[in-house]
Amino acid sequence: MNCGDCENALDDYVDGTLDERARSACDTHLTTCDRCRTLVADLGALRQAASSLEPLAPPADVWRKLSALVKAERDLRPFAWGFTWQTLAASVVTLVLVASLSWVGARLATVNEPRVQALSFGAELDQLDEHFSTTIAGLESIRQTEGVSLDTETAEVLQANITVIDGAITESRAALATEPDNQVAQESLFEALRSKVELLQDVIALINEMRKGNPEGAARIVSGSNQ
Amino acid sequence: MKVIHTTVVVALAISWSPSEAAAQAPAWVHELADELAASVEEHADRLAQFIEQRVAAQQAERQGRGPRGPEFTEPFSKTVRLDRNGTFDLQNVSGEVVITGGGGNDMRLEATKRVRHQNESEARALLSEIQIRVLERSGGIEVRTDYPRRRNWSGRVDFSVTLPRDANVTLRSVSGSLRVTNLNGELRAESVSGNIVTSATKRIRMTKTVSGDVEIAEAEGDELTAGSISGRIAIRGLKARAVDAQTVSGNLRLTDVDADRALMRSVSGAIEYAGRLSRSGRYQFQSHSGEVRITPADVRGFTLDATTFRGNVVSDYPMTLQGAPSNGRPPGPRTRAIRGSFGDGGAALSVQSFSGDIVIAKR
Repeated sequence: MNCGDCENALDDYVDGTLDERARSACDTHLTTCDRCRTLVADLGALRQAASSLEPLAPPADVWRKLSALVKAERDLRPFAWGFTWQTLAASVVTLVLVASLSWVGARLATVNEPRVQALSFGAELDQLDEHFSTTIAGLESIRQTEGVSLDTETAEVLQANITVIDGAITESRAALATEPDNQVAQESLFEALRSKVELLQDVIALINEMRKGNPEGAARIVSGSNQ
Repeated sequence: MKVIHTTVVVALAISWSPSEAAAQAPAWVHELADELAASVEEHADRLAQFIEQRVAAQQAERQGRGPRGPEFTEPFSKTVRLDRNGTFDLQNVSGEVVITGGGGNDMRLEATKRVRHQNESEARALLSEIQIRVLERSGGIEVRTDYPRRRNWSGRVDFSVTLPRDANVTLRSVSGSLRVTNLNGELRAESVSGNIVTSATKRIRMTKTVSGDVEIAEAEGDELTAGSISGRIAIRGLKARAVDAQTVSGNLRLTDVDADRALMRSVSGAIEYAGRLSRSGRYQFQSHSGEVRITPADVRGFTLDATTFRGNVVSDYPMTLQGAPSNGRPPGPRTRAIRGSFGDGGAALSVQSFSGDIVIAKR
């Protein structure tokens, strides 16, 4: 058994579902291969970390939607640059978790929106909020369809910070739902919206530079929209 | 992997509950959903970090960047005449850039190309393919680095450049750090993930990163702009007419600052400003959830408009509050807003935080 065979069998090896002969072959290979042994240890640790999560029963259509997401991901990112199963697993987990958490946030924000607007929010404030939200939706759409061009590390930093800003937007809107005339809440909302627009503009500019195969330009463009 | 499936199921189970029901649910349901989302996010972060580290380590090893791939280097050097106040523009993808201002009319560039690979002949071939171009333009010099467009290799170029201290310098890097010392000319420095560190650099115009930190010590400038998305910005010993510092999640720390105008903004990062307040100066600080701490130096007086939605505003200075007589004591410890003046009321401080505390502290 070589490393490739071993990698293919590792899922079942770690889950304890390999047949006796295959398991024995894996064991033999692992005694001589540091890399595969490290991988097995990592997967064991990963399995242990994941086991601390509370179990939740998925709704019936979860796997259908997951399948669609995976397919969409596959369509967006071809396997040309040597995708391994570990990379795929990481991508799927990251994609789905980010998507679902954003979806939770967006859903709760949507729940709050009618209440915010029903109260004395102020026509100008409403218009400004709508303007920002439309701009953000457009930029988000571009980011999500084109974002595959960014390197993983940069994309994650940007995504994490978009989440931070989304949290600020949600908090500000919730505050305005209870105190519509509160100036701090109003200004916090617009600061957060402004920050998000700026960040998304930077992200899209970065994506454009990366797609041109011009990583130096990526550094230059980071400051472009703010100067 | 079943464990990964489990993780995905947890995230999806939260997000796929019917939205109509959520819209009608009582507040505790939303609170529970928030708690669940936070819990999943925490687990997801841990798992994602774990997976990323391992995948990156394996990829690095496959590409010869692991500990078993030895490093091969190739030196490069060039000296070119550069006017005292000429321009120097360097772009690099990976590797450290060190710029030092000095005397004379020359730009002296020393570079080291570095490649890690298990195969020496491959490494040597890659080193020869890394091209450093030093281009002499009218009144200036441009340095560009071309990397091989091959896969499965890793390398970088480190630069050490000495140039006339009055030269105007522009630096751009993707992952390498940028270090600048003893420069009187204007500096613009940008990096995606590398740090930017300057000292004794008088005219910093702009520094910006995505995830790298910015550290500026002993600087002067007319208008200084420093920005980062997740990196920390630390500026010490700055004398400038105006400073504008902004982050999303990184902390902002300005100490020993002398500026007529300051604008500091963050979303979740903390903001700290310690320095002199000019008599007609304008200082604006805004954070969503980070603490804002201002420690004025040589205080003659200021007006303060500080408000928070959920945090506290605390001032060590006895304020004459708007619409209320001064009692000679600092305002109470749990106050959502302070609007008033201290001393001659010269400088104007506007401070706002949604949920972070605001502290006006004495030294």
